[in-house]
Amino acid sequence: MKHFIRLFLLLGFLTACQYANHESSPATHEDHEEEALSIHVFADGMEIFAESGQLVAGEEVAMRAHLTILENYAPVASGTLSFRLRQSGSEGSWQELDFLKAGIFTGSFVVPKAGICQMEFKYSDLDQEHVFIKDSLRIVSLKEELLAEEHQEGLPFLLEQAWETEFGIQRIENQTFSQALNCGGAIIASPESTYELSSPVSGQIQIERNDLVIGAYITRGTLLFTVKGSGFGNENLDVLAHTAKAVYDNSKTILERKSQLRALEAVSQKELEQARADFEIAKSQYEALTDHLAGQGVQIKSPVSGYLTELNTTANGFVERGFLLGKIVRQGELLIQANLPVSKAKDANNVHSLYFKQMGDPAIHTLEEQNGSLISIGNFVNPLTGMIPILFKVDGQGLTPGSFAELWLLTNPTEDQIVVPKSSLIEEYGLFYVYVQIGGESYEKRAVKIAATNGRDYLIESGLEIGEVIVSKGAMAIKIANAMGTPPAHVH
Amino acid sequence: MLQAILKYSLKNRLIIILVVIAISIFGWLTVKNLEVDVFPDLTAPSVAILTECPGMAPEDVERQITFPIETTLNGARDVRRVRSTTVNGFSIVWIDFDWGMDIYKARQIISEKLSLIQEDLPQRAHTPFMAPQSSVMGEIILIAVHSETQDPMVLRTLVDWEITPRLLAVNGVSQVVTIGGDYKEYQILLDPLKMAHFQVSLQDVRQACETMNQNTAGGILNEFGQEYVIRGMAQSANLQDLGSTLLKMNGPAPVILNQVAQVTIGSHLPKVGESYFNGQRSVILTIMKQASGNTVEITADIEKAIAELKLSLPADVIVNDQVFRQSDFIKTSVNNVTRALIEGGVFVVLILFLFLMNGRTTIISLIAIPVSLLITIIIIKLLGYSINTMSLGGMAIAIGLLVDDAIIDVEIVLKRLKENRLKPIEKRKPSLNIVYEASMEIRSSIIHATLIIIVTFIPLFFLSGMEGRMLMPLGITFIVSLLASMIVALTLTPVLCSLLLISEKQLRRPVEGGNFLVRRLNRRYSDLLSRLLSYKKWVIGIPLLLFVGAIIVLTTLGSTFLPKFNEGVLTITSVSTPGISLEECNLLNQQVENKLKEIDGVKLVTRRTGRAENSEHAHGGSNASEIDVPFDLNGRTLEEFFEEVRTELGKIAGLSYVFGQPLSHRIDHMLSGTRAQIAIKIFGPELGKLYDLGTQVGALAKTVPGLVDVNVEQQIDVPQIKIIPNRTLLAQNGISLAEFNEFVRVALGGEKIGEVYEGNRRFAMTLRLDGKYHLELEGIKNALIDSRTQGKVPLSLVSDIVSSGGPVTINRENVQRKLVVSANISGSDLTSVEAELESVIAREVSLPQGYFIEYGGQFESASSATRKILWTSLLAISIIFMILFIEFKQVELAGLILVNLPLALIGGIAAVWISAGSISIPALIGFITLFGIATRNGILLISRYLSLNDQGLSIRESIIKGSTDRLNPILMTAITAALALLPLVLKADRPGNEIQSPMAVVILGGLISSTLLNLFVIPAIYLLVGQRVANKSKKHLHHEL
Repeated sequence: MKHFIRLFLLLGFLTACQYANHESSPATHEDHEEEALSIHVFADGMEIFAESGQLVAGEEVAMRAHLTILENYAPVASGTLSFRLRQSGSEGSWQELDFLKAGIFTGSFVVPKAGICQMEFKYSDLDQEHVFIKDSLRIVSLKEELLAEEHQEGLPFLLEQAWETEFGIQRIENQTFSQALNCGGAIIASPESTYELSSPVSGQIQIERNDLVIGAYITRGTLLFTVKGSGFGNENLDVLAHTAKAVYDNSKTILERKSQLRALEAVSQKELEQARADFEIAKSQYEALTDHLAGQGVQIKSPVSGYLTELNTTANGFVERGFLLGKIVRQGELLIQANLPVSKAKDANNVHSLYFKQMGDPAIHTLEEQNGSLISIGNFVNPLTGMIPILFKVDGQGLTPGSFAELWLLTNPTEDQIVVPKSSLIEEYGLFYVYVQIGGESYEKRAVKIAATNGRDYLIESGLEIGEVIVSKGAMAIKIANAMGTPPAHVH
Repeated sequence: MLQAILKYSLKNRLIIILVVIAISIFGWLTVKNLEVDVFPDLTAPSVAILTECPGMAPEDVERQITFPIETTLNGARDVRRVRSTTVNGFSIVWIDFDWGMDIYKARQIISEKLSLIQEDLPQRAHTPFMAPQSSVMGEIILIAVHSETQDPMVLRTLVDWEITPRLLAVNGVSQVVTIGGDYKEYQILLDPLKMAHFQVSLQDVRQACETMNQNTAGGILNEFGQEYVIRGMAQSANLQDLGSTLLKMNGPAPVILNQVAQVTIGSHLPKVGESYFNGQRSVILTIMKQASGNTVEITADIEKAIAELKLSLPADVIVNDQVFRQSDFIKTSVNNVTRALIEGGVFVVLILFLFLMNGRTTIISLIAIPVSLLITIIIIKLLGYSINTMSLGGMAIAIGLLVDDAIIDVEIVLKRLKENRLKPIEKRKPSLNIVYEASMEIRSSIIHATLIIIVTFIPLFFLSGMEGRMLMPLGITFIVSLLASMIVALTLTPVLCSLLLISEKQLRRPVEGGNFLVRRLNRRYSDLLSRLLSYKKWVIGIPLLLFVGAIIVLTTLGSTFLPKFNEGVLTITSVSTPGISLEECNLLNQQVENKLKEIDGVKLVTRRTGRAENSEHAHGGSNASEIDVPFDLNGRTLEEFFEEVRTELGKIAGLSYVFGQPLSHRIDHMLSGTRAQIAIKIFGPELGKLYDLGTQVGALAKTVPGLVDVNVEQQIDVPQIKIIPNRTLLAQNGISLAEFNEFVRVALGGEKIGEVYEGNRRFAMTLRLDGKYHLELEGIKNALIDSRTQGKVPLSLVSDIVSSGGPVTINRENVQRKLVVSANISGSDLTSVEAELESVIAREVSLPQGYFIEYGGQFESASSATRKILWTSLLAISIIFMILFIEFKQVELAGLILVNLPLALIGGIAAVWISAGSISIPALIGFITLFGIATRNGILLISRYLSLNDQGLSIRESIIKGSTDRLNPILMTAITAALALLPLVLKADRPGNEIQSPMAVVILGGLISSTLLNLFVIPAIYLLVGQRVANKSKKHLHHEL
């Protein structure tokens, strides 16, 4: 029987053992200690944030220091960190802190005698050395003397969290700000470089070159068209020529007769002069037509070198006198017409320059590179486009008149401005905020007023001061960390 | 009838043996082909209706889509509950039908109703459709497709056009839900500045693009004796071709698409989900099986399909199917339970041999086990159940009991045969007659004992809902196997006895006393008993005190619903602030991934953030991620591992988590519509007020000790950009509101305007403004809208564009808006924590009119199930009493036997107290089983006392002799039953054993107490009441034992 009792007891014991290890062991939680004194100093592109117990003479206090490289906001991966407390009459001795893990150094020290002191940190890695100095620290002789320090309430965001995410801070400094207004526009030829070719007479047109099509390059003096007379119409070239000949012949006869009569003094000198003048006019008119009549028509030659941009006639077509046969645009100066939306009218008068991109060409050109200048800012809305026209003159080198261009109109740069990157802004209900660093691991959410933007940077009208440190990257991480999410009802 | 069966069996021994062989072969074949699943089919008849309505804000979706669908379906027949979730651009409505509703009928009803509301839905909404029918445990495998070198768009396209179609072709796969990668589409990105320059309107572009990529039929040409089909081949996948499409003529000059837009291939926007494999962008496929499929087989087929696919996929594309595989869990659990069953069997063999010290009797008794189990499996198959951990558990618990009937039969037959042999030869009866008579002698005991055990299982069949579905197969298997063993004891056992036990050698051994061990045991017991009988009061009093103590302990024990089980995969839902962008959420979750990868035992980390298109499995939005982490415990307990993960992830600010495992997570979800153990549902009309109340309740919940993972469903507004038209300015510009709406929808939101075919692959072609004009607030303000009076004007000129907020997700239940505060329990019991929580909330929270709170979650099911089990247990006990009364014809005796119940309770409660510390549903079932077994021991003792009394022994003599006689079978059956359970108890935390082990613990504890106490307490009580009872029973029971 005893054996069985033992057996049962054993079974019972086994059962109990099976469950004994169900008890969970308490989790080891790495609490972030609340420290009484915090030191936060920037130097040489690095940031040190150290926390320690209050400085009471003779007491041993623990210290924990965080060291961050600002460029990529990463913890230092190696190196040594020492510190000392300097007081009047004592340089203090360097004490090295232990490297706990990337970016974190810990240690403890005995606080020296009461008085004002300076805490100096020295970080060395490879052959580089950085020194951080915190002045005017007060060491008290008794705890009771500690003044109740004004505690800055801020949103916590631990450095260890910041290191794990994309994060960056930036000190606010005076900057020059220029807006870039994005709009469309066109590259157009300037009026003075456009030449119109019109037919001087009515007649049948003959195109003199096989390659005379829109876009063809034409040198000065090239024969382009010939207008031939034909049997119809009053403005016919033949009629004109014959009329001129008749007038010429007639005036010649009159002149000869009047010359003879003058010799006889039958007519006055004045009458003779009149007849001579009529003859000269008729002669020149007749000769002008006979020149053109040489090739059996009136020749039209290019007055300049340039591109044919318009061609309104076809071979053997009939044209009236004055008909616009085509346009030649002289190579060289062009205009850029920007069409600024009315919504940006208030900025229009500040425009002084531009960047532009021609359709089909990814390159962005500047006004300077094109030796261009602002011609005019239209203070009216073009009824056809609904836009405000702004004109620039450019060299035109490499540009195609008539093409579309995307433009960025630059406003006059204003100096001494507070400018923040877009990544530092948080938007809520139409209001903008930035996180201002108020301690090594605490931040203040500050409302700012935006004055303008160039797409990448924002001009701050109010809310920030020069010298303040803001979160330039990772602002959202602070926002999320301080607004705990909870699972929505998730369903299958 | 029993007589006839017995007689027939003994007369046709060969037939019986052949039948048994046939059954064994058939049973074995059945085992081979049986569907194996982790749990019984728990699918509630529920249908999900999904409606996509791209770009619509949650309030609009709720008002225009969710509400009409809900109201139409709420009145449908047999609808138990209507729930819904509305998020940006998506509505899901779940219709839960009453249990037992035929799912096809349910779908038919919904289908009819849906056709009615189609017309009422806004034009922009896609047609509502029912999610494919699939079981709760439908998500059988997660597959991650990733590559070091391939572009996410290439991956997604491969998945959509190569992998998914192949997987859908696998028999039994109902749906493949894909999330992640870049969803390829052809994009026409309009530049409003160029449009202004070329004087092209949005309408011009839409008109030109709508038909630009369609092939047309040009009729038929009959010539040269042939019939030619004439086709216009306008379709192209060439970007240059597409871009050369004419938009309009500006005088003589044509304007083509390329002049005003960029035609390109890009990723579909807005992106609603992303997935990551070990921190690398990937595509994750969730494969759902059809409701009736065999998970293990489908998984094997899927594996085969993947192996085939790998041959044709680029070498640098990796298909990983080890993320989550339900079949692995099934195999492990079923293997574990099977092993527990086999190990239990081995213990039974050892004990039998130890007690019987007789090879033949051991074999005869043992044969009952496999034969009964095979019969059980055949019957289970015929009843339409699958093999799962529950049904296997039923067998594991029964295994110790299966031999009992056979043992009792073998014992008595052997005894009678030996007695017969001792008689003079002329007086000896033929062996067959002896076997028959001996078997007849104990038949009623066997039947009553079996009946009693079956009756104790009555409460199980009153459980409804999921717990019923979960535990019913266990009860059924248990009962069927017991019945099978009873039949075996009435047929095969006598036959084998008649064949194996009649040899001289067998019968030469002494009648009484058995082997050395048994004799020694009997002697010690009879000495102890006779001594203890002098201290009756102590013997009765001490157990009474123990019982009172046990009852006191019982009141301190908590209760849970189902024990936690280890699935080997951790499912973490991480949630950040609603409204956060997908990119920011990814940044945060990358930290989670990094932390997880550093934890010992984590095999890999996959994450799904946001949601998949058209998926029923919807989180809130891009702020929620589901992270699956297969792990090894490496010597830790599950709790320890969870705690480690909790601690590590707790260091990341800005995320909150719910920890679970794939299946338990889904079971929790099925119970309450919420995944946590406790769900406080707050109902009311105003989302803001609901959130206020929720935060208040959440803060209170955090103060209740034992509650962890307290989460208030976020109902804070998510950012919205509202473009409010200025009607006066619109009018001045000649822009109609329809044009304004169209501009916002098409130019900013994007519109699918056609399709592009690359071979058989089909991609959408979408039209919208260039990213600069819809991905940045400044861009939206500058976007140019067509004006009739002056070209184009900036959108900001004719409307107010303001940043505002709106709800993120709107959840509803039974057509009421609701907000859920959820929590889990850690280290405490469900019921007491819940009671505490309820009282705190009732005290502290005052609800405005129209608002009310409901409590749901596991505790809801646990408490209703516990109540049912308690009431039905009382019913069962009265039935047992009735059976006992029929057996003994005396109230006192029946009562005396029921004394075993408290005796069993003592050990059962002690075992729970030592182990889990709280009573779960399986533990309650353990108590039920225990009552049956304990009662049987009582019957054995009392019937023997009566019979000895009958033979003229004094009360005291008959007690001592009777108890000693019965010590052997009682100990043997108790120890076999107990040891058979030992593997389940010792390997309680192995996957699959978790649910049965609390049951086994209770039975083990109860068996120890009831067996030990039964052997002393019942004799002591009988000594008190014996004389009176004996006199009465002489009249009735002279024919019994």
